[in-house]
Amino acid sequence: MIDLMKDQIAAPPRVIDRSTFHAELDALRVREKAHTKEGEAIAAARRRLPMVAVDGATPLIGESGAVTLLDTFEGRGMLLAYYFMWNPGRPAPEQCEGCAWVTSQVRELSYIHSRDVTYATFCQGPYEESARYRGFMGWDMPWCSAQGSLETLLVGRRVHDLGTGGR
Amino acid sequence: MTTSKEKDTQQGRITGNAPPIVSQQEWEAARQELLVKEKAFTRSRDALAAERRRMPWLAVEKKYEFDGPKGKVSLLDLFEGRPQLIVYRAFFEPGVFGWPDHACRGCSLGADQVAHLAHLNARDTTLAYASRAPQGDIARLKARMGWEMPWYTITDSFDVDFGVDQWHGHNVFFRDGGRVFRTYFINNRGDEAMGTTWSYLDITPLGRQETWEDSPKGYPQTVPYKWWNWHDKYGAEASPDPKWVRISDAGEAAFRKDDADAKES
Repeated sequence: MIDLMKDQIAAPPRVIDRSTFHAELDALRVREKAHTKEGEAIAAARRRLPMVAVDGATPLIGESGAVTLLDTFEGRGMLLAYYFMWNPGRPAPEQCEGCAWVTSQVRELSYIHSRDVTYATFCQGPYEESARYRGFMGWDMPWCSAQGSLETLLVGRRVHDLGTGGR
Repeated sequence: MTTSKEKDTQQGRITGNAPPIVSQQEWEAARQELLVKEKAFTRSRDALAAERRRMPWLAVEKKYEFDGPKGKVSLLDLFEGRPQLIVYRAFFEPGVFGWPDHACRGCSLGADQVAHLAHLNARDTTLAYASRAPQGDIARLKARMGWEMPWYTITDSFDVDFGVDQWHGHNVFFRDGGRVFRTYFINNRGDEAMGTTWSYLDITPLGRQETWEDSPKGYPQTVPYKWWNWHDKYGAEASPDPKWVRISDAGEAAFRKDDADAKES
């Protein structure tokens, strides 16, 4: 059993009574609420960002074969696509742990669907092997290979080669 | 006839005041401008988490008893041997809308956001849900909804004593051997932000336990990225894996170089 207090925390915080605890919490809450409001203001600004036109016919490979960027919306008004890096021809343990981390945080999608948003993963690598990896990881979000359209979808961004450690 | 998908789509249509359509360069410039505010927002969130790590603690002197899948357990048992515990009060009991098939809709939405707990557990933190419903109903609900977090039955004044008798909320506890302290409480819209591993760690007294964090001297910290693992590999492998250390170092260097290049240009 880890005894953090004894082993690591040299000076643990003060131990106080219930009313002082709540007073301290209330004081922190004022700053936390200001942070929440700032987050909402940023989200409001995000809704007012200009948009850039992207060719809806941009080709991707999905479960049923060749699809277009437009198809991946699944009929909804918005698409949130996560770009997943890929190390071609390598086994699961050599795929991007960071992308795996992020993707493993994605849970139930029915709520965002009901708000007209589709979530999909666009993988840097080929469909067959990356979809096998997706199955192995137990993920069930829509999955496409964006391998043939990286220049269109990542315009202005550098495509990292994961095989050489991101360089 | 309208299909459900078509109906879904109707609500997302913008009927006026749509943002302007601009060139890639103009869009990038607008995005970069917003990114400045977004980064400041991230730093402000980190600063709040640092304040939480300095919050005074409240000693929990009373003994609480819960029903678990294997019988009676204490608050100390809920830690599962780890030093940090987060308890979310979810509303699932007779009289709550949805009973007995479902838990409260908001609590269910929250439960659906909970990331794989292996990552949180790897940072010495346990997440548990607690409700008034009997264990049999909780087991049935978890199976139906595909939820896997530990979920206990409240049997005493735990909900009243920790501000979650009328409304949902997250209470955070720290354990020093057998002594238990309440370190933090968040409810209302604060609960909305919970679900990812990071959101949970940011409300704990030890934080993410990473070297970049502003924590009191002597708090446990390790370098970022290196402790990450696949959710089915924690414990099975010695951490950190030297190969992953090389890959993550190279990745970090590349991203820092991109940042530096962007600043120069």
